Amino acid sequence: MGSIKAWAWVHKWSSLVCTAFMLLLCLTGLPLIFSHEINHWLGNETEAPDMLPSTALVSMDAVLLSAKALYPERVVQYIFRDVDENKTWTVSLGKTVVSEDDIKYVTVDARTAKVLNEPNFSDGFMYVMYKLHVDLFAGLPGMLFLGLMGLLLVVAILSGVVLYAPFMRRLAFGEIRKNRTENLKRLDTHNFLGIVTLVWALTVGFTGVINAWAELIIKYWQVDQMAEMTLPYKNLPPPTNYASIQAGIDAAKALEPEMVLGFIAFPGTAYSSQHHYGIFMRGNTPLTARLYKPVLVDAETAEVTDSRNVPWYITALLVSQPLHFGDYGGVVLKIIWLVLDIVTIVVLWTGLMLWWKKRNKYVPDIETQIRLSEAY
Amino acid sequence: MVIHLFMQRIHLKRIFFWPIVLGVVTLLGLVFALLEEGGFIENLSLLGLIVPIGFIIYFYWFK
Repeated sequence: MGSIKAWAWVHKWSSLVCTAFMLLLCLTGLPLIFSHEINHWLGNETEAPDMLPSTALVSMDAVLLSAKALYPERVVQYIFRDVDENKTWTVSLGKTVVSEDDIKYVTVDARTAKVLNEPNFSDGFMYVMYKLHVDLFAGLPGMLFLGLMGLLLVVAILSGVVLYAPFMRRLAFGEIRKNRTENLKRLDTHNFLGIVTLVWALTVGFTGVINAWAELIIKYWQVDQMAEMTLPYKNLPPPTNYASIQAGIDAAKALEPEMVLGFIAFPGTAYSSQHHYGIFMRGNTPLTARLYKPVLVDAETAEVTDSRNVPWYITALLVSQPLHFGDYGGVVLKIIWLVLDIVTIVVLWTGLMLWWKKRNKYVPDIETQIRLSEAY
Repeated sequence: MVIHLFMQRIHLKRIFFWPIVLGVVTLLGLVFALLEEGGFIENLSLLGLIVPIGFIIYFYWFK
């Protein structure tokens, strides 16, 4: 029983430390699962007019021109869109190519080059939910702190599985003693819901921890591989004239004919170099649509200079994102995520209550607790 | 050494049989949903993820 005592200690303290934050993450996570739908209801989503699917797309240079016409004094940083969006592109423009504050976004119709919207991504209810969920409004330290809390959750879940066995010696699977004391019902509910949602909670918890490291993982990739890929251009003066971005996209597509365009990083941003368009290609299945392959294109000549698959740590990050968000399988998957999120809230809450109710009482050691819970 | 009386392998097998089944089904559901959108595999994987929810509803309200 000595080891059970140790596991009980680990379970109690790892849970107690992270529970408040986990409740916050579960609650803010609820609207985030449906952020696409909620933004649609709130009218924040850009609605591109319906056209025949065969309607030809305009050149990306035209998209770029439309966006730039609104902010001629600014520089383009990125062109991007959601994985499931296919009618529009959104262009981000900063005061300088590296500025991170005061970014303007312009959403342009990919078939007409007409400006449709200027979305504001840093405002409103969903933004508050997002910031509370990701970094508590505290930037990188906040992210890493929440990552640490997620790690404690993983420890709490695993120690909980170990404790599940002694508590279930005399009980059948799924047995909840509803007609005994309130505390026994709570204990059985906690154990049952916890064990049933085990794999999902571990997956979402652990992929959340990986996501908390995203910024550092990407920074490492930039130093590790991006720098290597752009090394031959390191000491050259910045280009004086720029090639057509559509020509660059075409060159990338010729190299990767099976893939589609994911996003574009303009020269000088963190995902390219002074001399390159960073063209990021992606696949078509729910998994490969999130796995990018960088193709670096010379910004003066529109010729491909380098392209390589992302290393394992970037793949791990990119795969962990859909598994955390639950956004890779339509609305049914989102509803499953919602239900399991609520079940996790119940597990957290019953766990907290189990501790709270006995905090002022004499608490026998774990062995006696298990025997007492069986004595009915 | 009370622990050995209680924690015999037979007990562990009984205790963890359903949790392991549910864990494997959930895991397959999570992974297979990554492979395809809108097809048979996706429906199968969604089914796998609904099973634990079905267990909760059955054991909590109907048993």
